[in-house]
Amino acid sequence: MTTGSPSPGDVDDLAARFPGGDEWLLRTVYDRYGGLVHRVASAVLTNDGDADDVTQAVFVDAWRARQSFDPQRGSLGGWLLSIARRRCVDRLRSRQRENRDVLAAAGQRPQPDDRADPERIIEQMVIADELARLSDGQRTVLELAFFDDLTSPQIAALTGMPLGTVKSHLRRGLAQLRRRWEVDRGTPE
Amino acid sequence: MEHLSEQDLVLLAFGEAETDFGADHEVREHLRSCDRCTNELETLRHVVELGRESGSYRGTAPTPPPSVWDGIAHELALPTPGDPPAEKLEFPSAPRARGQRSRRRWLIAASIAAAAVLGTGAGVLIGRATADRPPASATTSSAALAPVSPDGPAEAAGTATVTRGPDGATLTVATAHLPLQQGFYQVWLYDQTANKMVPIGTLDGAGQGTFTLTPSIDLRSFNVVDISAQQLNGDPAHGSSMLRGALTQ
Repeated sequence: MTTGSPSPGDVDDLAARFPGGDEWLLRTVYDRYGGLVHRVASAVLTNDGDADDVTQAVFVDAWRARQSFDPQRGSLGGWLLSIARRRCVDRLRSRQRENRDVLAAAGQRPQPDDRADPERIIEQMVIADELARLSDGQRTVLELAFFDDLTSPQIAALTGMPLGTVKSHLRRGLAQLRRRWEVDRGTPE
Repeated sequence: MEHLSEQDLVLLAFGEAETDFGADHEVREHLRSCDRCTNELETLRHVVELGRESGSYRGTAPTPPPSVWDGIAHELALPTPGDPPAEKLEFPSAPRARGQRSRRRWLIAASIAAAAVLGTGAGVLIGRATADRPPASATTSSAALAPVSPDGPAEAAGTATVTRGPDGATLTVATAHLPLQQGFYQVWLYDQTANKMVPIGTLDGAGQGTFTLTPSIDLRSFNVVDISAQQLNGDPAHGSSMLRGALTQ
């Protein structure tokens, strides 16, 4: 039997329990956010080995600093992503230093780093993560609008849903993505 | 001044021209003079933009490789299934009711049965099932866990016991004859009336677990213990129910 996904209240509950939780709770938090943190790190660092290391470091940092997490001040996801951002930026900087040293040794000038902006990647990943959590109807409609660039009448024609349903899926789905983005995009430290 | 509806703003954010507000030029005119609608539309457009960009990550690995969790557990020296017991089995010294004694016997029997099935030392299980329990704790409620069709095998069984000690409530779960699987077993408390589930923790490799319950969980409403089989795919949604039972006093 499948009873559907836990309601958003459970995420709040995880956050409330985290500062005083035991190691089983860390596993639950990892199961909830490990994939997201790892995807962010992979996209920012474009290197799987580095992404693994950063993901490990993020959860180790989070566990050691769990007492300092205050659920009143922000979401657990946003807090973890702010740790991930810091860890990713550290890793990028140390890579740049290495590159500079290598290039300097070879007598070349370093090129400007045009890698994607970590802030933007985090925002995109938070949206991608929430998109995957929407109800089937909302997700289908939003994916057709985002990735296939279809208008609501086109989506209605394609899926056979009434136009009003398509529009309300768009509205509710987008509202949910926005809420998650507002909560979890975090703020640079 | 009449504002654009949320529905219209969403359609505009997606770049659709057709709105209920009126003709295109009326919409533009309104937006020129209305900061509220303009700001709202800008935010929605940003979210739509991020949504479109998020497509490039579709199909990326949903979960980190298992070595990442192993690294975390190693670095933090977290207990893993199969670790030697921290302490030997100790019965509480306070007198107990007959019912409790038989429940405890059952739990041990279940532990041993699970050990036989899973090939783990029984000492580990018993040590784990009773670790950290204050001697003065009293059983407040318990549940016999029965297989849930279609996924729970008929021979599977378990018990869940809530004890209250000086440090709050503890939920102890012991299961037997759950099949070995690739993922893990997750313990949930379930509020049937509100149809809400709260994840409590993960059973160890021997099908046992002891969990401290946060005081904010009201066991009068979250009074059903559910054990689900979860895949290691990063999806936190409730998997397949294997065992379930209602807590009774």
